[in-house]
Amino acid sequence: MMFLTVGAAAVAAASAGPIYLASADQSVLQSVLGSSSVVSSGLTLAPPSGTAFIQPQTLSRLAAEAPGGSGGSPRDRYGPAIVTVDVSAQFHSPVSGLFDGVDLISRTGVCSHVHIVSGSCPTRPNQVLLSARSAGALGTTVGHTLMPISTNRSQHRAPPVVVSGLYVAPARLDAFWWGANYFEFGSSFGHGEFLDSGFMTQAGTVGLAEGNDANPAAVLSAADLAQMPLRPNRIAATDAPAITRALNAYGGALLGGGVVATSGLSTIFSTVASQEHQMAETTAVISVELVLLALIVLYGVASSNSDERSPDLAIAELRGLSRSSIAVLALREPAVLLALSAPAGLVIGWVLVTLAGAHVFPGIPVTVDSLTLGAVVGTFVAGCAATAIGARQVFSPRASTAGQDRASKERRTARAALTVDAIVVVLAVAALVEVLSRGKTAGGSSDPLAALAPALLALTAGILGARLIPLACRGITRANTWTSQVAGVLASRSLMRRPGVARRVLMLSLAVGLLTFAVAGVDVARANRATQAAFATGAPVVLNVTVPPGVDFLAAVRRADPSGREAMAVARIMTSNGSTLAVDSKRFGAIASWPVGTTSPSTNPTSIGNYLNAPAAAPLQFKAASAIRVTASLTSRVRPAPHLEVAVFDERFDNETDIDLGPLGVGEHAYTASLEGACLTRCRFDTFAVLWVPPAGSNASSAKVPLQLSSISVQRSSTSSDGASGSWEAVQAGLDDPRDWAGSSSVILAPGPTGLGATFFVSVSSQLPTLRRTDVPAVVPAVVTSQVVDLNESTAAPGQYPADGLDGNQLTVAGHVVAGALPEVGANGILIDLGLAEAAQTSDTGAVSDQVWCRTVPSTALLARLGAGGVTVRGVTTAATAFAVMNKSGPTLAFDLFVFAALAAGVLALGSLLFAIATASRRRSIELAALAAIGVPRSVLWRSLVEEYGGVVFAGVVLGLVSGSVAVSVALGALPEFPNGRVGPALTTWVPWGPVLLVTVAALVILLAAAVAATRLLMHRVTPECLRMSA
Amino acid sequence: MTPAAIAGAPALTLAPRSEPGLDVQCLGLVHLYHLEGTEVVALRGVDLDIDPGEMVALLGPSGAGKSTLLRMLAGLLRPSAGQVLVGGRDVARMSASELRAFRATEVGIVLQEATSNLLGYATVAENVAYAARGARQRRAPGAFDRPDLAQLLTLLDIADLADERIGTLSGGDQQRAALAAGVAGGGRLLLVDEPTSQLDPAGRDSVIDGMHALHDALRATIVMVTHDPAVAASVPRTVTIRDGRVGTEGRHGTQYAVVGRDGVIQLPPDLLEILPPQTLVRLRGHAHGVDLINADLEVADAAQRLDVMSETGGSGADEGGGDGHDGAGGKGGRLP
Repeated sequence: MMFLTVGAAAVAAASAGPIYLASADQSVLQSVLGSSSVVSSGLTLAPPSGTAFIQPQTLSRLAAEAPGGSGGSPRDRYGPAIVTVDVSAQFHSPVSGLFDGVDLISRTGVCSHVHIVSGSCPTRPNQVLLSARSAGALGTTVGHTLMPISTNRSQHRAPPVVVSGLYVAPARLDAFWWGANYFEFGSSFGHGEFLDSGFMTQAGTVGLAEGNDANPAAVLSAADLAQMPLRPNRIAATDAPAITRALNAYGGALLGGGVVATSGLSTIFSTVASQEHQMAETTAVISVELVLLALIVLYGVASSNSDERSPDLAIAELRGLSRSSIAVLALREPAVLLALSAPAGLVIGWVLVTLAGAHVFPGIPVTVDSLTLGAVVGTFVAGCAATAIGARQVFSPRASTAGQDRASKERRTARAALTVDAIVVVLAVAALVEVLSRGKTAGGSSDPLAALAPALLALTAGILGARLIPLACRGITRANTWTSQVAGVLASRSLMRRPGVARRVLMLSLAVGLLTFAVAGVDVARANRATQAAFATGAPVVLNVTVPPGVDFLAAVRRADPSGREAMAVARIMTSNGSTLAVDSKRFGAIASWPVGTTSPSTNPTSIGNYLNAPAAAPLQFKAASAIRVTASLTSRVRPAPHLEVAVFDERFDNETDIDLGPLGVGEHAYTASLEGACLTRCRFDTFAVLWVPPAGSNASSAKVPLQLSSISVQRSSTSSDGASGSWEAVQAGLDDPRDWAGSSSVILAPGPTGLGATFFVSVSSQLPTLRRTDVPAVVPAVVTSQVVDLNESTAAPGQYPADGLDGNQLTVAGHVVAGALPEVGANGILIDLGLAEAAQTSDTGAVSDQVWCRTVPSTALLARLGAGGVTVRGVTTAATAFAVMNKSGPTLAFDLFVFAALAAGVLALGSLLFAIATASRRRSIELAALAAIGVPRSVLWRSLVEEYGGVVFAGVVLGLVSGSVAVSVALGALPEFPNGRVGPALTTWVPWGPVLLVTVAALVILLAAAVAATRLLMHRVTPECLRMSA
Repeated sequence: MTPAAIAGAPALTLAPRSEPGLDVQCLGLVHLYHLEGTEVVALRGVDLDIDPGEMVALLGPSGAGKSTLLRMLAGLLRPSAGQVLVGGRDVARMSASELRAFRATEVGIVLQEATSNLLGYATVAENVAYAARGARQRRAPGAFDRPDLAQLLTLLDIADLADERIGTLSGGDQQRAALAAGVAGGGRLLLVDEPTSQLDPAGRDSVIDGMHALHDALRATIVMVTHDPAVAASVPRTVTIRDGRVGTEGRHGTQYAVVGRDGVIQLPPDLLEILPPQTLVRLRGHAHGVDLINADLEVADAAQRLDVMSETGGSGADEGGGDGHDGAGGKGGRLP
């Protein structure tokens, strides 16, 4: 029965690894696919950019021919193709008097993805479904006719379209929209605005794109594409190579036909393969450990079985049976049992993985593949080999034939055991040295040896324990021979005389060592993943938002969360030079996930926020204005007269305009200039500049322009709704405080009697002298990544680095705080204050991503306030989601397998202990019966047994705990915890004593309870009959 | 063992084997073995001849080397020196596979404890069949098959125990089952080690009866080791092994010293009292053998005689030489 059990355990251990690996592979694939955007995983067919529009029917046909990869139908693997024809058009708005841009779109199934509030989905080519707000902006409604105009210079008029219905733009974009924003209402479009897309039938958009018989020349520019969303659950991990090949072939074939097929699936497969590789290494090592463990137990059982069958075999030899017959006799039964145990073990392995999978990778089918069957066969063969080795005495002379050689045989056996032990210890030490010398791998790569380290260390500890216990017991026995500690003496004497019992320490140490490592590893890795997920996301909840032009994002978020503890505005721009992350530094400490130790010097997030929030003058902001007037006094004549220029930044359109105030005359004058088109909603005064051109034929190349700047005022725009139209308003420019202004190198500032004294030194050979508002420090404080430091080590001034602002223009930042990585942006980026970044912004590149970082899941009220402030939430990313994705990654799943392996090792160790007690029970019962016969109380005998086996269990557990803890310290850092190279906060590899001790104590209690129960059963066998049996 | 007991053996139903038992010849057998760093001499030059079909008991105290000699005859131990010829074949020179075949088909051995010969969990019949397996594998002509088995068990008076598990049998029944297993391969030489050592008298008698029955039925050569003179007395020929050498032989109740091939002779214990070690012995041959005369005593006797002669005037030189027998007043031993 033991054979059957251990054989099944070995096969289960061997098969569980590959079964787990296959399911985990699938889980990783599903996880990566699930966290990938539909754009990455799906297949897109489109004409090459700049080429002609293709008939959408052609795209549909080509999409239907998309490859199925390894045997699957494309319709199964990909969802139905979404064919889109996008016609760029504009409509004249009688409301604003401007031409507003509207994309007229036909997109398969679009009407089921928008909420139609009035009218119906278009059914005829000349019908269009508009958003309600677009209709409002255009002053139209259902049933009205609109005249589309091409967006190019020719402004062709296309056939009219009739508004068939009105829809409400979805608040969040689901995968159907393929990552594109079809609802750009309010963003700038030339001198008009973009409105939300209008949806038409395919015939309608094609008609607009190609013209029609009635008006063949009225062609609007159009683009079309077909998008096929992948169905992740139809993809098996094993399909990846075939799918990749098929997609490559398909793409190549399409390219010849003038269609480009794009898909990020190959990249996804590469990511998955990388994780699978990491996982496979660890899984393989764990599986091998488990199988070896099971084989060791099997060997032990085979040895015991062989001992039990030794008389039978001795008789067989006595009767002259051939060696092969004896071998068959000895091995047939174990082999049959092993053969029977193989399917049982396979089923057990499958059931265990299925049970574990329900928690680790729910929803993933657990299947048996060829690798698993190979592992089963391999384990069966290895089991037979272990059994044969365990029963090797079959092939050596029997006791009956060589009784006198028993002593030398025992000596040989002891020498062999010592050699094996020494080999294991040497291997363990070598592995330890290797792992230590390689050092930690930052959790991103793997070292298979590190996965072996716990087992090797625990084995070494177990070997030392097994060797030392008899020696220690010898001393204990000697010391207590004449004491009244009968039970203790009996226990220590037994352990001293029978090293085989002490040998059980090895298995126990191994099991507890693995358990310690597994629990600590899982706990530490989980904590590290949580830290990494929170850090990489930036905050517990991140809202991806769109902010229409003209909305002060920073102020809008502050208004939405007046407490300052719930939400924080963040903007991010990625350029070829790196990334810039601009945060509301006043709220950074309260909201950002910023583990202490992320930066050097180590700084907490509040201090980081304070550091970023450098003092600066308030920006000079004013509402829509039609003109600007600057009062200035030129104190000495300059010929020719220099011109005074100011730069005004329109925050509505993120556009800075230079305004020429005209030539400067001696004395104080008010210089006025129009702001036509330069300040439509809200603006910011940025700089003064003096422009001077030397007179023709003059040798003069420079001039000194001494100015007294007294005031700035603007004339309110005629569109002003607050009744201030046409009035002049003074801008509180603080011209009396030179600290609020900073000149370029050729400007000297001094306080003047009537304002700011500024002397501009103009030169034809140098840059234009400017005087700017110090709403941005000259050097912006920033947290920079070490990569930025390294990249600019040779070029930058000490502690100062070039970086890109939100407008893509260069900023100089002071990087006195260095981090390995920054949230959201990774290893190459800077972190600055959003207020400063906005103040430094002079244009809109369109590349800025706006986010709202939240400390918790935002309340409905907060979301409503954000919406009211013009901030629209388009998506949500949470640290919990990132954590969940990490929890499905290959390394995590491999770590989880450590736990199962440890539990399996624990079961094997427990079985081994009970087996040892059971096999020794006959001999021990006779001994104990003899002791009972001479008057030793049964309670003392039982206590001696409990102390004997309890001592072994205790020693094994303690050695396992110690070796496991050492393994955690040494090897955990060299095991992969994250799918790919990781940057971010420092990882911890400290032993989490709480869970480790809890589990260890639980293991100790279970093992002791089992040992006590087994010894209790043994005691029941101790009767006077035993003595008769022995006789 | 008495002839009456032998007479009580069950009727022979097993056909006698066509081939007689194997003869055994031991020539100067020496065996050493190592025990905890020291060399122990188990046999120190044993010379022994056993005729085909003969039944011999090896008698001697514990540690005399009887069992070692028996195991050598079975090929279970190889001699350190000397030769063991069984059926004319040198057992010591046989390969391992030849030895297996030898034990399977030629020689049956029954070790001291019954459980060393039998599977405790199997029945008597299964054990005998198991023991015959090696011979059947080699298609040995003498191997017992299924019909023979019943007759064999009947011969040993354990037919009714055929289906009983060994563990449930008495010691005597176990030993008879072991005897059945010993000859199951059809061996022409049966070696039995202390078959009665742990048996009560009834069990002992049944075992001895069984051995005689087997001997009569199979005409096999039987060599039995025992330390019990009474058991040995039931066998026609008894060879006493002492200190690793063949001591005396008893034939039909009469004890004889045996002259070894090297001329060495071991004296029976009673004669050793007369001729203790280091005694100077004078040999006086005559037509029936040799007289061993303690030279010291002879000298003393002669001196005494001289004294007497000097007192009486007679000569003692020819005294004691008469019929060569030491007579009542003799101080020596005489062998035929």
